[in-house]
Amino acid sequence: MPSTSAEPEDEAGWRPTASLVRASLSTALLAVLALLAGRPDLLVLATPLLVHAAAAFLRRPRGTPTVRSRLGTDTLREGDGTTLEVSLDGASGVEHAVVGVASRRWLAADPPSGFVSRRSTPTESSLTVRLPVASLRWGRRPFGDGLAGVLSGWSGYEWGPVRLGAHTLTTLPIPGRFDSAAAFPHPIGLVGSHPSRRRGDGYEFESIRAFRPGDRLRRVQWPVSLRTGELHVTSTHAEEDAGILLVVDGGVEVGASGGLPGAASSLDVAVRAAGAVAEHHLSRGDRVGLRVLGSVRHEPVPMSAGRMHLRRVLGALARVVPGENRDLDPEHARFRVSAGTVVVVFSAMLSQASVAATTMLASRGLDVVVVDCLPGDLDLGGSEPQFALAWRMRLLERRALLARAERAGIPVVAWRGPGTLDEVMRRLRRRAVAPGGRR
Amino acid sequence: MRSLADPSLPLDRLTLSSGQQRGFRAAVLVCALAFLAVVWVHGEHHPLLTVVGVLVAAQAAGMPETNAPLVLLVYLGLLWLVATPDRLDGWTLLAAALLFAVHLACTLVSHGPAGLRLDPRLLRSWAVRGAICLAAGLLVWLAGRGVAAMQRPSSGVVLGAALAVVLAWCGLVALRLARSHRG
Repeated sequence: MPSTSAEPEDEAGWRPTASLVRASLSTALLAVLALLAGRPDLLVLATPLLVHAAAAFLRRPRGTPTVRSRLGTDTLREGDGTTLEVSLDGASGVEHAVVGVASRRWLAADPPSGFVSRRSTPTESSLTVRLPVASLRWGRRPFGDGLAGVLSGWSGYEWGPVRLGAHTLTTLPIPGRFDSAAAFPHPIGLVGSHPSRRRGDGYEFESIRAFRPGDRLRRVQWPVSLRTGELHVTSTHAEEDAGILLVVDGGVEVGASGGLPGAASSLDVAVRAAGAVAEHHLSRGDRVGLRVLGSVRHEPVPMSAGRMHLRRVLGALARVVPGENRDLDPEHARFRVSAGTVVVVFSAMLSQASVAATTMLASRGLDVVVVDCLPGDLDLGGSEPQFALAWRMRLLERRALLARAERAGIPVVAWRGPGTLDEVMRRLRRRAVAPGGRR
Repeated sequence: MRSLADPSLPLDRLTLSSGQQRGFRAAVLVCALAFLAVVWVHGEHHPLLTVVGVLVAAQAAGMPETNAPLVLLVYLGLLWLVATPDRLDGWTLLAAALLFAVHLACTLVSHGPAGLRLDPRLLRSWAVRGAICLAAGLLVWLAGRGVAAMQRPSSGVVLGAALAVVLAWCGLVALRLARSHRG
């Protein structure tokens, strides 16, 4: 894991603390007064302070500590935690180290104040202060920027504070539960688990036909062969992989996100649903690509397969920033999609741009499915009647947009986890295998 | 470690401080008020000086990371000199313990920024240190009583030696603090 070193705010090194200055100066004054006034009771008042000051002077540290900070891991899933470790090398003479880290939304430090301290034993030359932190929502956030300072024995001298650099903590979305038993309409490729429309090696029954040279002996259908007196074999559909392009509408976010334990915003649903679909299909050997609408810095994730690719897809989903670019021009948006790919659009369908992009993809002859990501129990964070009225008007507009998409032959399904896409995929497959269907 | 604390207003620091830090701040105020009460009971009554002492104590409790507690310690020492008789009795020991408790509570509040909770092991080690410091005060108190009981006439040699020790201490303090200030 990358670590950062920290530089002192100033080059003063070890400085006496207010406590040492107080003890030594008040001791000196009381002792002088005791002698001048002939008051031994003032010496009694001064003695405890004198002992403190003398002990603190004797424990003045010599070296200069070096501070480094590192994160236990820089990538984690929602709800998972890691630890920020701040190490002080050359810490002989240090008794107490304090680290204060700036708090960030969706990152829960323990303690919540972000201040942790550690007492050092006299034999330790290296001291590590640990701050556990849990991430409550997907995204990329800086964490670990703050200050660190140390105290010598008897609180005599202080060093620092030094500024700690920030680390980037990437939180991958925790995919929602998803499963699909439906076959893809256009399996393309050589290997995979989706039944193809052509014959070949597979498990799904196609027909029983007469033996031809090249057929495998284990495919011989003996009962039919004995009955007819002619050698017959069982033929199956070949199994192939499928291509699926996930399009996430990052231009609009509706609803207040409560992080992992709280309510979900529309973008939370979209990102987690896209992650779930990607995980499901990549585990079945399909090829998955990702495109985020409304994101300026977002490079499309090309179609690919494998477990490593899942990491790329989830990492790209973690970089989604809502509303970065509301002026999406679907006419100029390039979707590098090959024929046969199924496009799944995750959107709350609240903007013209996302509907235009969806219909544009459908007009290219692709199978497009819209997953409606508007949560049913949306927390809009407002209770005024005008607010409710405006939201109702927005929902009416949305209804019109959804109707426009359905008129364009684009099925719209609400996200409900496992089985969300099954019915739609079956319909698309029926349409594809029908005479004159899209290929 | 006041520089680690945020440079916001003292009231903000008070609001953000942990329960432990509030306890230490309360200890500063309570011990300072107890010291004033000891002076009131043991010595002469100076209402104006007592009120000023309360105000200075409140300021020190509000800003223990600053030099306000130094002002409080010096003020209480001067008040003791002005308002109490020259006697080495139990009140003196109690006053020394209270004065050191004020200093110690301010030291512990200044160990970190507002909101920090100190390690219990660190608090235990400070309890031991506090006991050592107070034990030294007790020894000086016993020595002072012993010398007073002998009723020896004042000696210029002893006074000169004591003055030399005090001046040496003052010189050491000045040297150390000045060197640290130069870095």
